[in-house]
Amino acid sequence: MSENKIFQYVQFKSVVAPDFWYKLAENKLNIEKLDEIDQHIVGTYTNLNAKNCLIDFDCTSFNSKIVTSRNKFGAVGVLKNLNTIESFKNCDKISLLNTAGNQLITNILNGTCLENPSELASFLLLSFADLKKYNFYYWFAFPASLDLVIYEASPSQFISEKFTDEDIKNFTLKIDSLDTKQSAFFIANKTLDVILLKDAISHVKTDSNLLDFDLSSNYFCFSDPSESKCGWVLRNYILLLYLLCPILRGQSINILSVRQSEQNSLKASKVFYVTLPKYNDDFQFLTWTSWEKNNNGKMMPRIANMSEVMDPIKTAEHFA
Amino acid sequence: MDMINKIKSTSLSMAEKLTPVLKESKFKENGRLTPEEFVAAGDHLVHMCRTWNWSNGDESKIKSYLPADKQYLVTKNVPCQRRCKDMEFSGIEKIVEETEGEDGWVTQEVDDENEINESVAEMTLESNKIDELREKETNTQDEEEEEALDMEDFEESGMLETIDPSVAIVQPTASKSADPNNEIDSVVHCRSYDLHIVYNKYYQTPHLFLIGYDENKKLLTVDEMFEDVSQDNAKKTVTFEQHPHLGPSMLAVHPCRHGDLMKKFIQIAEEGGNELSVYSYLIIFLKFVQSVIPTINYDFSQTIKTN
Repeated sequence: MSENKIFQYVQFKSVVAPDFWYKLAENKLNIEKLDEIDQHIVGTYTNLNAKNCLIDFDCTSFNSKIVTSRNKFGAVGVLKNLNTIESFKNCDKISLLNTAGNQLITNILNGTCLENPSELASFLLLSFADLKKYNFYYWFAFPASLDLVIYEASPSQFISEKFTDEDIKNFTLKIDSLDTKQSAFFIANKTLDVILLKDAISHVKTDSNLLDFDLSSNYFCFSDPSESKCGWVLRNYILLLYLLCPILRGQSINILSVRQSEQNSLKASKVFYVTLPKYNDDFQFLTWTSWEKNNNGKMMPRIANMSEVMDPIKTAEHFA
Repeated sequence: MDMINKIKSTSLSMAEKLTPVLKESKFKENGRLTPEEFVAAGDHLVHMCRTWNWSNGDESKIKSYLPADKQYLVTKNVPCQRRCKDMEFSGIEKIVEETEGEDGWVTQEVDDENEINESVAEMTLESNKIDELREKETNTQDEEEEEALDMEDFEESGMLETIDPSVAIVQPTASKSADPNNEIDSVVHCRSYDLHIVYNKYYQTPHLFLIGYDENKKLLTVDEMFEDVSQDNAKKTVTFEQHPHLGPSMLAVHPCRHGDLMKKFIQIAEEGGNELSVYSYLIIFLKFVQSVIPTINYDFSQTIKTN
């Protein structure tokens, strides 16, 4: 019965700090001016005391060097800042999302995502800056394949129900020593030894991937920004496994959602058991989801008014 | 006082440019820090409290006296469930230090949650306060409606609204009580704050900046943010200033007395036969600024031995 239950993910919820808009406005005025160029930016998410699957953006999103730390993981995306409100309103959001989705597939197939698993946490940001009123119109999308549906194989378990305290303790040390690009998505064996994606999976000879791999005693791990059901980032990890490891199709696999708390505890971490589908060989992932809904659950963009913190006249009132 | 603050913060940004970087340790002498000591204390904080991280900030605003990837410390999405302003109706605060003119630090006890909840529940607001709150609520509603009208054009038709079976439905956090009789005092808005610890070159101490969001992660107004500051410190020790590494303005706990306070802590510790190391500076610092922002729940750290 439980085999037919569709496995569900918690969507990312974007949190944009005022300094993100400040930097965007500064770049628009000083660098891009009237050009509409796609910019590569980054967001961050954490699996430490995580709640609500948040993804953060601030002025460091524009930096060339990204400072991550033990529990701060990078997400990679494209910013499309448009010049007019009309072009913001009229641009074809479906085709934008499809382009982003196809790019993700390309990055999986050419090995980029194995080398840098953070590429799996991908996003798209469409924006228009009304610099006179300090209004920023924006809309995030977090591309994921609508076609790839997986099923719950059996109920989830807490990490302590599957592993010894000793193994869990060592696991914490091993994750801490990894670069966060790698600790975002990786594999662990039955004693929780870490195996990097790039060491276990090849993008060239996919048919031989994980051939001698015991699926019941290995775990596909990811750092989870969500506290109950699995966070959105897992969805593209599953896509990677489906595309690069044909042997997994139609099989049940173990997912380990790594969640940390203060005092270095992993006790909120959970093991999920899921079954991957088996589509025909010529199956194409064509439909992509999803644009973020606004606070009222509607399919529309948001406005951030930054006059409180950016408009010299308004801020002067508060200085006084 | 407000006017003085205004002049102070403008002249300070000038003075900061002219002040030489502190080279020798003045920690024991006057509770101040060199940039190296700030970095060491920051490393210790990051090690002890995993929620704090170093940030490089805006790359075009890097301060040369600090390492490029350790410009300031940040912790994000810190929950703030109660309004400090409301708590103060119930009079559960006490003065820890003899007030010296206007600069005295006032602290609040938030240890006993039950007690607070009870007193909040029992709290009877004066009628003018209720009117004030009601009025405010209506105003925000109006604003939201206005915004919704503006945005309606932007709503996308069915095209984007595909049904995705793999999306977990997350219940939106209820912000209002269903009981209509209770509508005013049971409104609980879980806000969240980002906190930044910046090195203030002029005062040679840490400088705390904060910025808050409502339950939908929408930026709060400055007045709303002041509701989460101990009312005796609002607009005195806490001001609204431009963040030196970022650009936009944020609330800031004025650092003018941090050095003296820290010196006092060192003395208390010494009297108790303990020596405070410069590494624990920021952990102690966070303890004492907690009295200014008592409802922002960032402190998971251990207790500090002073005796």
